[in-house]
Amino acid sequence: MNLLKRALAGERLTDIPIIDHHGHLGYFLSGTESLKDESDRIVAEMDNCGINRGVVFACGTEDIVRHNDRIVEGVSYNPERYIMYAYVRQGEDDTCALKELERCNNLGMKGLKIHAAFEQGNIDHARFADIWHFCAEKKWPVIYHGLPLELITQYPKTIFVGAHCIEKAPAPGAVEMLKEYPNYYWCTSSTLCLRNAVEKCVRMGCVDKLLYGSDFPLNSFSVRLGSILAAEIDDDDIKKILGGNAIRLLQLDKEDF
Amino acid sequence: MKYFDANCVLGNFGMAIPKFSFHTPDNLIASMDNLGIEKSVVSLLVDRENSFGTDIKLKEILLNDLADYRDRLIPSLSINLQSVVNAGYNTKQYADDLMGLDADVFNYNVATNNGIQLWRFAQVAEKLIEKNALLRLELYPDRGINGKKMAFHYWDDIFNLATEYPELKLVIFAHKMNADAERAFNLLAKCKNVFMDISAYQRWMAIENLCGEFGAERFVFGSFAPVFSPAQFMLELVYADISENDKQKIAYGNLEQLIK
Repeated sequence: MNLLKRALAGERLTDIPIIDHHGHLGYFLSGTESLKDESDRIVAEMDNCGINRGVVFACGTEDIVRHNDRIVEGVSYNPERYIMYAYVRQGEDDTCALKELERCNNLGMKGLKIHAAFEQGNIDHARFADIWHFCAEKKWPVIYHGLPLELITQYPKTIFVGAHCIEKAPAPGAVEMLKEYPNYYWCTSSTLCLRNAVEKCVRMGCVDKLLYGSDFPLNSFSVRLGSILAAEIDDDDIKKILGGNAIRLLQLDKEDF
Repeated sequence: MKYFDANCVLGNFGMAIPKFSFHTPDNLIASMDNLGIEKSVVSLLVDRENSFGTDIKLKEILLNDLADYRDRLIPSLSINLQSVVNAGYNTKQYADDLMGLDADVFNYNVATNNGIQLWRFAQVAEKLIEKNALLRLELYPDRGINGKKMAFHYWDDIFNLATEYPELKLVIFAHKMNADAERAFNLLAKCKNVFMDISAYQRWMAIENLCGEFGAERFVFGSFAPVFSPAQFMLELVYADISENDKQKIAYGNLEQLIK
Protein backbone atom coordinates (compact mmCIF):
# COMPACT_ATOMS: atom_id res chain seq x y z
CA MET A 1 0.00 0.00 0.00
CA ASN A 2 1.40 3.40 -0.89
CA LEU A 3 1.96 6.21 1.59
CA LEU A 4 -1.24 8.07 0.70
CA LYS A 5 -3.44 5.03 1.08
CA ARG A 6 -1.83 4.17 4.40
CA ALA A 7 -2.45 7.71 5.65
CA LEU A 8 -6.04 7.80 4.42
CA ALA A 9 -6.60 4.52 6.21
CA GLY A 10 -5.76 6.39 9.39
CA GLU A 11 -2.17 5.26 9.80
CA ARG A 12 0.45 7.73 11.01
CA LEU A 13 3.55 7.40 8.84
CA THR A 14 5.95 6.97 11.74
CA ASP A 15 8.32 4.78 9.75
CA ILE A 16 9.46 7.71 7.60
CA PRO A 17 11.08 10.95 8.78
CA ILE A 18 8.71 13.91 8.40
CA ILE A 19 10.09 17.36 9.07
CA ASP A 20 7.83 20.39 8.81
CA HIS A 21 10.04 23.18 7.56
CA HIS A 22 7.75 26.13 8.35
CA GLY A 23 6.34 26.89 11.76
CA HIS A 24 6.07 29.50 14.47
CA LEU A 25 6.19 29.52 18.23
CA GLY A 26 5.39 32.17 20.75
CA TYR A 27 2.40 33.85 19.16
CA PHE A 28 -0.18 31.57 20.76
CA LEU A 29 -1.78 30.85 17.41
CA SER A 30 -2.71 27.39 18.65
CA GLY A 31 -5.10 28.91 21.18
CA THR A 32 -2.90 28.25 24.20
CA GLU A 33 -1.85 30.84 26.76
CA SER A 34 1.71 30.00 27.70
CA LEU A 35 4.85 29.10 25.80
CA LYS A 36 5.03 25.70 27.43
CA ASP A 37 1.40 24.94 26.60
CA GLU A 38 1.89 26.03 23.01
CA SER A 39 5.07 24.00 22.63
CA ASP A 40 3.33 20.94 24.11
CA ARG A 41 0.14 21.49 22.11
CA ILE A 42 2.04 21.60 18.83
CA VAL A 43 4.03 18.49 19.73
CA ALA A 44 0.78 16.68 20.56
CA GLU A 45 -0.54 17.55 17.11
CA MET A 46 2.79 16.53 15.55
CA ASP A 47 2.29 13.14 17.20
CA ASN A 48 -1.28 13.01 15.92
CA CYS A 49 -0.08 13.61 12.37
CA GLY A 50 3.15 11.59 12.49
CA ILE A 51 5.46 14.61 12.23
CA ASN A 52 8.92 14.08 13.71
CA ARG A 53 10.19 17.63 13.95
CA GLY A 54 9.20 21.17 13.16
CA VAL A 55 11.33 24.13 12.14
CA VAL A 56 10.22 27.19 14.12
CA PHE A 57 11.04 30.86 13.92
CA ALA A 58 9.74 34.25 14.96
CA CYS A 59 8.14 36.49 12.38
CA GLY A 60 7.19 40.10 11.91
CA THR A 61 8.08 41.31 15.34
CA GLU A 62 10.03 44.48 16.13
CA ASP A 63 11.77 43.09 19.18
CA ILE A 64 13.81 40.38 17.53
CA VAL A 65 15.98 39.55 20.54
CA ARG A 66 12.98 38.97 22.77
CA HIS A 67 11.21 36.87 20.18
CA ASN A 68 14.26 34.79 19.32
CA ASP A 69 14.52 34.14 23.06
CA ARG A 70 10.89 33.06 23.08
CA ILE A 71 11.71 30.54 20.36
CA VAL A 72 14.54 29.21 22.54
CA GLU A 73 12.26 28.96 25.56
CA GLY A 74 9.42 27.33 23.63
CA VAL A 75 11.78 24.79 22.11
CA SER A 76 13.37 24.07 25.50
CA TYR A 77 10.17 22.29 26.59
CA ASN A 78 10.47 19.78 23.72
CA PRO A 79 14.01 20.17 22.40
CA GLU A 80 14.04 16.90 20.51
CA ARG A 81 11.02 17.93 18.43
CA TYR A 82 11.96 21.36 17.16
CA ILE A 83 14.67 22.96 15.02
CA MET A 84 15.21 26.66 15.69
CA TYR A 85 15.80 29.34 13.07
CA ALA A 86 16.76 32.90 13.91
CA TYR A 87 14.76 35.90 12.79
CA VAL A 88 16.27 39.31 12.09
CA ARG A 89 15.07 42.52 10.51
CA GLN A 90 16.89 45.28 8.77
CA GLY A 91 17.39 48.26 11.07
CA GLU A 92 19.35 51.45 10.99
CA ASP A 93 22.43 49.60 12.13
CA ASP A 94 22.77 46.19 10.51
CA THR A 95 25.63 45.17 12.79
CA CYS A 96 22.88 44.52 15.36
CA ALA A 97 21.37 41.89 13.08
CA LEU A 98 24.73 40.20 12.62
CA LYS A 99 25.37 40.24 16.36
CA GLU A 100 21.95 38.72 16.90
CA LEU A 101 22.74 35.97 14.42
CA GLU A 102 25.96 35.19 16.27
CA ARG A 103 24.01 35.07 19.53
CA CYS A 104 21.40 32.80 17.94
CA ASN A 105 24.14 30.55 16.62
CA ASN A 106 25.42 30.14 20.16
CA LEU A 107 21.88 29.33 21.26
CA GLY A 108 21.76 26.42 18.82
CA MET A 109 19.82 27.89 15.93
CA LYS A 110 20.27 26.31 12.51
CA GLY A 111 18.92 28.78 9.97
CA LEU A 112 17.47 32.21 9.34
CA LYS A 113 14.01 33.56 8.48
CA ILE A 114 13.54 36.77 6.50
CA HIS A 115 10.13 38.23 5.72
CA ALA A 116 10.12 40.96 3.08
CA ALA A 117 6.52 41.99 3.73
CA PHE A 118 7.40 43.21 7.19
CA GLU A 119 10.09 45.44 5.68
CA GLN A 120 7.58 46.87 3.21
CA GLY A 121 9.50 44.90 0.57
CA ASN A 122 12.45 47.25 0.92
CA ILE A 123 15.23 45.03 2.17
CA ASP A 124 18.58 46.36 1.03
CA HIS A 125 20.28 43.08 0.21
CA ALA A 126 23.70 44.64 -0.27
CA ARG A 127 23.56 45.99 3.28
CA PHE A 128 22.81 42.46 4.45
CA ALA A 129 25.83 40.99 2.62
CA ASP A 130 27.49 40.00 5.90
CA ILE A 131 24.31 38.21 6.91
CA TRP A 132 24.22 36.16 3.71
CA HIS A 133 27.92 35.34 4.09
CA PHE A 134 27.37 34.34 7.70
CA CYS A 135 24.61 31.94 6.66
CA ALA A 136 26.78 30.51 3.89
CA GLU A 137 29.65 29.93 6.30
CA LYS A 138 27.42 28.28 8.91
CA LYS A 139 25.51 26.37 6.22
CA TRP A 140 22.30 27.94 7.49
CA PRO A 141 19.37 27.85 5.08
CA VAL A 142 17.66 31.21 4.73
CA ILE A 143 13.91 30.79 4.52
CA TYR A 144 12.78 33.92 2.77
CA HIS A 145 9.17 35.08 2.34
CA GLY A 146 9.20 37.19 -0.82
CA LEU A 147 12.54 36.01 -2.15
CA PRO A 148 13.94 38.05 -5.09
CA LEU A 149 15.85 36.02 -7.66
CA GLU A 150 18.85 38.35 -7.81
CA LEU A 151 19.69 37.42 -4.26
CA ILE A 152 20.05 33.79 -5.27
CA THR A 153 22.42 34.65 -8.10
CA GLN A 154 24.45 37.20 -6.14
CA TYR A 155 25.09 34.90 -3.19
CA PRO A 156 25.46 31.45 -4.72
CA LYS A 157 26.99 29.93 -1.59
CA THR A 158 23.99 30.81 0.54
CA ILE A 159 21.03 28.44 0.49
CA PHE A 160 17.76 30.32 0.00
CA VAL A 161 14.43 28.63 0.59
CA GLY A 162 11.44 30.40 -0.90
CA ALA A 163 8.56 30.28 1.59
CA HIS A 164 5.02 29.44 0.39
CA CYS A 165 6.41 28.74 -3.06
CA ILE A 166 4.65 25.66 -4.38
CA GLU A 167 1.97 27.98 -5.72
CA LYS A 168 4.56 29.22 -8.19
CA ALA A 169 4.89 25.86 -9.90
CA PRO A 170 2.16 26.51 -12.47
CA ALA A 171 3.73 29.83 -13.52
CA PRO A 172 5.81 29.69 -16.72
CA GLY A 173 9.53 29.44 -16.00
CA ALA A 174 9.22 29.15 -12.23
CA VAL A 175 10.25 25.51 -11.92
CA GLU A 176 13.04 26.05 -14.47
CA MET A 177 14.54 28.62 -12.10
CA LEU A 178 14.22 26.26 -9.18
CA LYS A 179 16.11 23.69 -11.18
CA GLU A 180 18.77 26.08 -12.45
CA TYR A 181 20.09 27.40 -9.13
CA PRO A 182 21.60 24.83 -6.77
CA ASN A 183 21.18 27.20 -3.81
CA TYR A 184 17.45 27.71 -4.41
CA TYR A 185 14.78 25.62 -2.66
CA TRP A 186 11.02 25.85 -2.21
CA CYS A 187 9.05 25.24 0.93
CA THR A 188 5.57 23.82 0.32
CA SER A 189 3.95 25.93 3.04
CA SER A 190 1.53 27.17 0.46
CA THR A 191 -1.65 29.07 0.93
CA LEU A 192 -3.06 26.93 -1.86
CA CYS A 193 -1.52 23.80 -3.29
CA LEU A 194 -2.80 23.21 -6.78
CA ARG A 195 -3.06 19.65 -7.92
CA ASN A 196 -0.14 18.73 -10.19
CA ALA A 197 2.16 21.43 -8.75
CA VAL A 198 4.32 18.94 -6.85
CA GLU A 199 4.24 16.52 -9.77
CA LYS A 200 5.46 19.24 -12.11
CA CYS A 201 8.45 20.04 -9.90
CA VAL A 202 9.38 16.39 -9.59
CA ARG A 203 8.90 15.69 -13.28
CA MET A 204 11.25 18.56 -14.08
CA GLY A 205 14.01 17.20 -11.86
CA CYS A 206 13.45 19.30 -8.73
CA VAL A 207 12.52 16.61 -6.24
CA ASP A 208 15.61 17.40 -4.15
CA LYS A 209 14.63 21.07 -3.94
CA LEU A 210 11.27 20.77 -2.18
CA LEU A 211 10.73 20.90 1.58
CA TYR A 212 7.42 20.06 3.23
CA GLY A 213 6.06 22.88 5.38
CA SER A 214 2.67 23.81 6.76
CA ASP A 215 3.02 27.20 8.46
CA PHE A 216 1.93 25.66 11.76
CA PRO A 217 0.19 26.54 14.03
CA LEU A 218 -1.48 28.97 11.70
CA ASN A 219 -2.41 26.09 9.41
CA SER A 220 -2.87 22.42 10.14
CA PHE A 221 -0.17 19.84 9.53
CA SER A 222 -2.55 17.43 7.87
CA VAL A 223 -3.86 19.46 4.92
CA ARG A 224 -0.36 20.28 3.66
CA LEU A 225 0.81 16.75 4.39
CA GLY A 226 -2.09 15.48 2.33
CA SER A 227 -1.15 17.71 -0.59
CA ILE A 228 2.32 16.13 -0.73
CA LEU A 229 1.07 12.58 -0.22
CA ALA A 230 -1.53 13.10 -2.95
CA ALA A 231 1.13 13.89 -5.55
CA GLU A 232 1.23 11.24 -8.23
CA ILE A 233 4.94 10.51 -7.82
CA ASP A 234 7.00 7.65 -6.37
CA ASP A 235 6.85 7.16 -2.63
CA ASP A 236 10.63 7.57 -2.54
CA ASP A 237 10.23 11.07 -3.93
CA ILE A 238 7.50 11.83 -1.41
CA LYS A 239 9.86 10.72 1.36
CA LYS A 240 12.48 13.17 0.13
CA ILE A 241 10.03 16.06 0.18
CA LEU A 242 8.59 15.16 3.56
CA GLY A 243 11.91 14.78 5.33
CA GLY A 244 14.86 13.48 3.37
CA ASN A 245 15.73 16.82 1.81
CA ALA A 246 15.51 18.63 5.15
CA ILE A 247 17.75 16.05 6.79
CA ARG A 248 20.33 16.64 4.09
CA LEU A 249 20.01 20.41 4.09
CA LEU A 250 20.19 20.72 7.88
CA GLN A 251 22.85 18.03 8.17
CA LEU A 252 20.77 16.08 10.66
CA ASP A 253 21.70 12.60 11.74
CA LYS A 254 19.53 10.05 9.91
CA GLU A 255 19.92 7.73 12.88
CA ASP A 256 17.85 10.16 14.97
CA PHE A 257 14.75 9.34 12.95
CA MET B 1 -14.92 5.80 5.49
CA LYS B 2 -17.33 6.72 2.69
CA TYR B 3 -16.80 10.02 0.89
CA PHE B 4 -19.19 12.23 -1.04
CA ASP B 5 -17.31 15.14 -2.61
CA ALA B 6 -19.53 18.21 -2.69
CA ASN B 7 -17.45 20.16 -5.18
CA CYS B 8 -15.92 18.77 -8.38
CA VAL B 9 -15.69 20.25 -11.84
CA LEU B 10 -15.40 19.00 -15.38
CA GLY B 11 -13.85 20.78 -18.31
CA ASN B 12 -11.14 23.33 -18.94
CA PHE B 13 -10.47 26.30 -16.78
CA GLY B 14 -10.53 29.64 -18.51
CA MET B 15 -7.72 30.81 -16.24
CA ALA B 16 -4.02 30.47 -17.04
CA ILE B 17 -3.35 27.47 -14.88
CA PRO B 18 -2.30 24.00 -16.01
CA LYS B 19 -4.80 21.81 -17.67
CA PHE B 20 -6.16 19.00 -15.61
CA SER B 21 -7.01 15.52 -16.59
CA PHE B 22 -10.63 15.31 -15.43
CA HIS B 23 -11.99 16.30 -18.77
CA THR B 24 -14.31 13.38 -18.95
CA PRO B 25 -16.57 11.69 -16.43
CA ASP B 26 -14.45 8.55 -16.84
CA ASN B 27 -11.33 10.44 -15.74
CA LEU B 28 -13.16 11.74 -12.73
CA ILE B 29 -14.53 8.32 -11.80
CA ALA B 30 -11.04 6.81 -12.10
CA SER B 31 -9.64 9.45 -9.79
CA MET B 32 -12.48 8.95 -7.31
CA ASP B 33 -11.88 5.20 -7.34
CA ASN B 34 -8.20 5.75 -6.71
CA LEU B 35 -8.98 7.72 -3.55
CA GLY B 36 -12.05 5.78 -2.48
CA ILE B 37 -14.60 8.53 -3.13
CA GLU B 38 -18.03 7.08 -3.74
CA LYS B 39 -19.95 10.07 -5.13
CA SER B 40 -19.25 13.61 -6.30
CA VAL B 41 -21.28 16.69 -7.08
CA VAL B 42 -20.08 17.94 -10.46
CA SER B 43 -20.43 21.25 -12.23
CA LEU B 44 -19.16 22.35 -15.61
CA LEU B 45 -16.32 24.85 -15.39
CA VAL B 46 -17.33 26.83 -18.43
CA ASP B 47 -20.85 27.05 -17.04
CA ARG B 48 -19.55 28.35 -13.72
CA GLU B 49 -17.13 30.84 -15.18
CA ASN B 50 -19.08 32.24 -18.09
CA SER B 51 -22.49 32.22 -19.52
CA PHE B 52 -24.06 33.19 -22.77
CA GLY B 53 -27.60 34.36 -22.75
CA THR B 54 -29.73 31.93 -20.79
CA ASP B 55 -26.94 29.29 -21.01
CA ILE B 56 -29.44 26.44 -20.64
CA LYS B 57 -27.54 24.64 -23.39
CA LEU B 58 -24.46 24.33 -21.16
CA LYS B 59 -26.52 22.67 -18.47
CA GLU B 60 -27.97 20.24 -20.97
CA ILE B 61 -24.43 19.36 -22.06
CA LEU B 62 -23.47 18.52 -18.47
CA LEU B 63 -26.64 16.51 -17.90
CA ASN B 64 -26.04 14.63 -21.11
CA ASP B 65 -22.38 13.95 -20.23
CA LEU B 66 -23.36 12.61 -16.83
CA ALA B 67 -26.40 10.65 -17.98
CA ASP B 68 -24.70 7.28 -17.64
CA TYR B 69 -23.02 8.13 -14.34
CA ARG B 70 -25.84 9.53 -12.27
CA ASP B 71 -25.43 6.90 -9.55
CA ARG B 72 -22.02 8.45 -8.73
CA LEU B 73 -21.79 11.87 -10.37
CA ILE B 74 -24.48 14.31 -9.28
CA PRO B 75 -24.85 17.29 -11.63
CA SER B 76 -24.82 20.79 -10.22
CA LEU B 77 -26.12 23.46 -12.56
CA SER B 78 -24.81 27.01 -12.45
CA ILE B 79 -27.20 29.88 -11.96
CA ASN B 80 -25.81 32.84 -13.87
CA LEU B 81 -28.25 35.61 -13.16
CA GLN B 82 -25.83 38.41 -13.94
CA SER B 83 -25.41 37.41 -17.55
CA VAL B 84 -29.07 36.55 -17.93
CA VAL B 85 -30.00 40.05 -16.90
CA ASN B 86 -27.22 41.54 -19.01
CA ALA B 87 -28.55 39.65 -22.01
CA GLY B 88 -32.03 41.02 -21.39
CA TYR B 89 -33.70 37.73 -20.56
CA ASN B 90 -36.61 37.38 -18.21
CA THR B 91 -35.45 35.96 -14.86
CA LYS B 92 -38.77 34.23 -14.26
CA GLN B 93 -38.49 32.39 -17.55
CA TYR B 94 -34.87 31.56 -16.70
CA ALA B 95 -35.90 30.18 -13.31
CA ASP B 96 -38.61 28.07 -14.95
CA ASP B 97 -36.24 26.74 -17.60
CA LEU B 98 -33.54 25.99 -15.05
CA MET B 99 -35.78 24.20 -12.60
CA GLY B 100 -37.32 22.20 -15.41
CA LEU B 101 -33.99 20.44 -15.88
CA ASP B 102 -33.28 17.11 -14.26
CA ALA B 103 -31.09 18.22 -11.35
CA ASP B 104 -31.38 18.64 -7.59
CA VAL B 105 -28.22 20.63 -7.00
CA PHE B 106 -27.48 24.14 -8.25
CA ASN B 107 -24.59 26.49 -7.77
CA TYR B 108 -24.40 30.25 -7.71
CA ASN B 109 -21.10 32.08 -7.76
CA VAL B 110 -21.55 35.03 -5.46
CA ALA B 111 -18.26 36.55 -6.61
CA THR B 112 -18.75 36.42 -10.37
CA ASN B 113 -22.41 37.42 -10.08
CA ASN B 114 -21.37 40.41 -7.98
CA GLY B 115 -23.36 39.36 -4.96
CA ILE B 116 -26.95 38.27 -4.47
CA GLN B 117 -29.62 40.81 -5.28
CA LEU B 118 -32.73 39.44 -3.60
CA TRP B 119 -35.14 41.20 -5.94
CA ARG B 120 -33.44 39.40 -8.79
CA PHE B 121 -32.90 36.11 -7.00
CA ALA B 122 -36.39 35.75 -5.54
CA GLN B 123 -37.93 33.76 -8.35
CA VAL B 124 -35.00 31.33 -8.44
CA ALA B 125 -35.02 30.95 -4.64
CA GLU B 126 -38.73 30.14 -4.58
CA LYS B 127 -38.30 27.55 -7.31
CA LEU B 128 -35.35 25.98 -5.48
CA ILE B 129 -37.46 25.60 -2.34
CA GLU B 130 -40.34 24.20 -4.34
CA LYS B 131 -37.98 21.64 -5.81
CA ASN B 132 -36.31 20.95 -2.44
CA ALA B 133 -33.02 21.56 -4.23
CA LEU B 134 -29.63 22.30 -2.69
CA LEU B 135 -27.93 25.60 -3.54
CA ARG B 136 -24.12 25.75 -3.45
CA LEU B 137 -22.85 29.28 -2.97
CA GLU B 138 -19.35 29.80 -4.35
CA LEU B 139 -17.16 32.69 -3.29
CA TYR B 140 -14.29 32.32 -5.71
CA PRO B 141 -12.37 33.32 -7.70
CA ASP B 142 -12.19 36.53 -5.78
CA ARG B 143 -9.58 38.58 -4.02
CA GLY B 144 -10.38 36.49 -0.97
CA ILE B 145 -8.70 33.52 -2.58
CA ASN B 146 -5.27 34.39 -1.21
CA GLY B 147 -6.38 34.99 2.31
CA LYS B 148 -7.45 38.59 1.85
CA LYS B 149 -10.94 39.64 2.79
CA MET B 150 -13.70 39.12 0.28
CA ALA B 151 -16.16 41.82 -0.70
CA PHE B 152 -17.99 42.81 2.44
CA HIS B 153 -21.44 42.69 0.90
CA TYR B 154 -21.11 39.02 -0.13
CA TRP B 155 -21.61 37.92 3.45
CA ASP B 156 -24.45 40.33 4.01
CA ASP B 157 -26.05 39.08 0.80
CA ILE B 158 -25.81 35.46 1.91
CA PHE B 159 -27.22 36.37 5.32
CA ASN B 160 -30.13 38.18 3.67
CA LEU B 161 -30.82 35.21 1.39
CA ALA B 162 -30.61 32.69 4.22
CA THR B 163 -32.92 34.67 6.49
CA GLU B 164 -35.39 35.61 3.77
CA TYR B 165 -35.65 31.95 2.70
CA PRO B 166 -35.03 29.80 5.80
CA GLU B 167 -36.25 26.70 3.95
CA LEU B 168 -33.54 27.10 1.32
CA LYS B 169 -30.57 24.79 1.93
CA LEU B 170 -27.30 26.63 1.33
CA VAL B 171 -23.74 25.28 1.29
CA ILE B 172 -20.87 27.75 1.18
CA PHE B 173 -17.75 27.01 -0.86
CA ALA B 174 -14.94 29.49 -0.39
CA HIS B 175 -11.41 28.17 -0.59
CA LYS B 176 -9.23 29.80 2.02
CA MET B 177 -11.71 32.26 3.37
CA ASN B 178 -9.56 32.40 6.49
CA ALA B 179 -9.57 36.18 6.55
CA ASP B 180 -13.36 36.14 6.44
CA ALA B 181 -13.76 33.43 9.04
CA GLU B 182 -15.46 35.65 11.58
CA ARG B 183 -18.16 36.66 9.10
CA ALA B 184 -18.65 33.07 8.02
CA PHE B 185 -18.93 31.88 11.62
CA ASN B 186 -21.42 34.62 12.36
CA LEU B 187 -23.50 33.39 9.46
CA LEU B 188 -23.30 29.77 10.63
CA ALA B 189 -24.34 30.81 14.12
CA LYS B 190 -27.35 32.79 12.96
CA CYS B 191 -28.63 30.76 10.00
CA LYS B 192 -29.32 27.08 10.58
CA ASN B 193 -29.97 26.54 6.87
CA VAL B 194 -26.36 27.44 6.05
CA PHE B 195 -23.73 24.70 5.76
CA MET B 196 -20.06 24.89 4.84
CA ASP B 197 -17.49 22.94 2.87
CA ILE B 198 -14.53 22.00 5.11
CA SER B 199 -11.98 23.20 2.55
CA ALA B 200 -13.24 26.75 3.15
CA TYR B 201 -11.44 27.11 6.46
CA GLN B 202 -7.92 25.76 6.57
CA ARG B 203 -6.65 26.97 9.90
CA TRP B 204 -5.04 25.05 12.74
CA MET B 205 -7.34 22.33 14.15
CA ALA B 206 -10.05 23.69 11.88
CA ILE B 207 -12.33 20.67 11.89
CA GLU B 208 -12.10 20.18 15.63
CA ASN B 209 -12.87 23.84 16.26
CA LEU B 210 -15.69 24.05 13.73
CA CYS B 211 -17.37 20.91 15.01
CA GLY B 212 -16.94 22.07 18.60
CA GLU B 213 -18.56 25.40 17.83
CA PHE B 214 -21.32 24.49 15.39
CA GLY B 215 -21.61 20.68 15.34
CA ALA B 216 -20.46 18.26 12.65
CA GLU B 217 -23.89 18.39 11.00
CA ARG B 218 -23.11 21.80 9.51
CA PHE B 219 -20.14 20.71 7.38
CA VAL B 220 -19.59 18.76 4.19
CA PHE B 221 -16.50 17.41 2.49
CA GLY B 222 -15.64 19.28 -0.71
CA SER B 223 -12.43 19.60 -2.67
CA PHE B 224 -12.81 21.60 -5.89
CA ALA B 225 -11.17 18.67 -7.67
CA PRO B 226 -9.34 18.55 -9.97
CA VAL B 227 -7.96 22.02 -9.25
CA PHE B 228 -7.05 20.76 -5.80
CA SER B 229 -6.53 17.18 -4.77
CA PRO B 230 -9.34 15.85 -2.56
CA ALA B 231 -6.72 13.87 -0.64
CA GLN B 232 -5.52 16.86 1.36
CA PHE B 233 -8.99 17.50 2.79
CA MET B 234 -9.61 13.78 3.23
CA LEU B 235 -6.45 13.50 5.31
CA GLU B 236 -7.46 16.52 7.37
CA LEU B 237 -10.69 14.72 8.19
CA VAL B 238 -9.04 11.35 8.83
CA TYR B 239 -6.52 12.87 11.27
CA ALA B 240 -9.06 15.19 12.96
CA ASP B 241 -9.67 14.60 16.64
CA ILE B 242 -13.43 14.14 16.42
CA SER B 243 -15.58 11.02 16.68
CA GLU B 244 -15.72 8.53 13.81
CA ASN B 245 -19.44 9.17 13.63
CA ASP B 246 -18.88 12.90 13.11
CA LYS B 247 -16.19 12.21 10.50
CA GLN B 248 -18.60 10.03 8.58
CA LYS B 249 -21.29 12.71 8.72
CA ILE B 250 -18.90 15.26 7.20
CA ALA B 251 -17.41 12.85 4.69
CA TYR B 252 -20.71 11.58 3.36
CA GLY B 253 -23.82 11.65 5.48
CA ASN B 254 -24.54 15.37 5.71
CA LEU B 255 -24.40 15.93 1.97
CA GLU B 256 -26.50 12.87 1.31
CA GLN B 257 -29.13 14.24 3.69
CA LEU B 258 -29.02 17.68 2.06
CA ILE B 259 -29.48 16.32 -1.42
CA LYS B 260 -32.34 14.05 -0.38
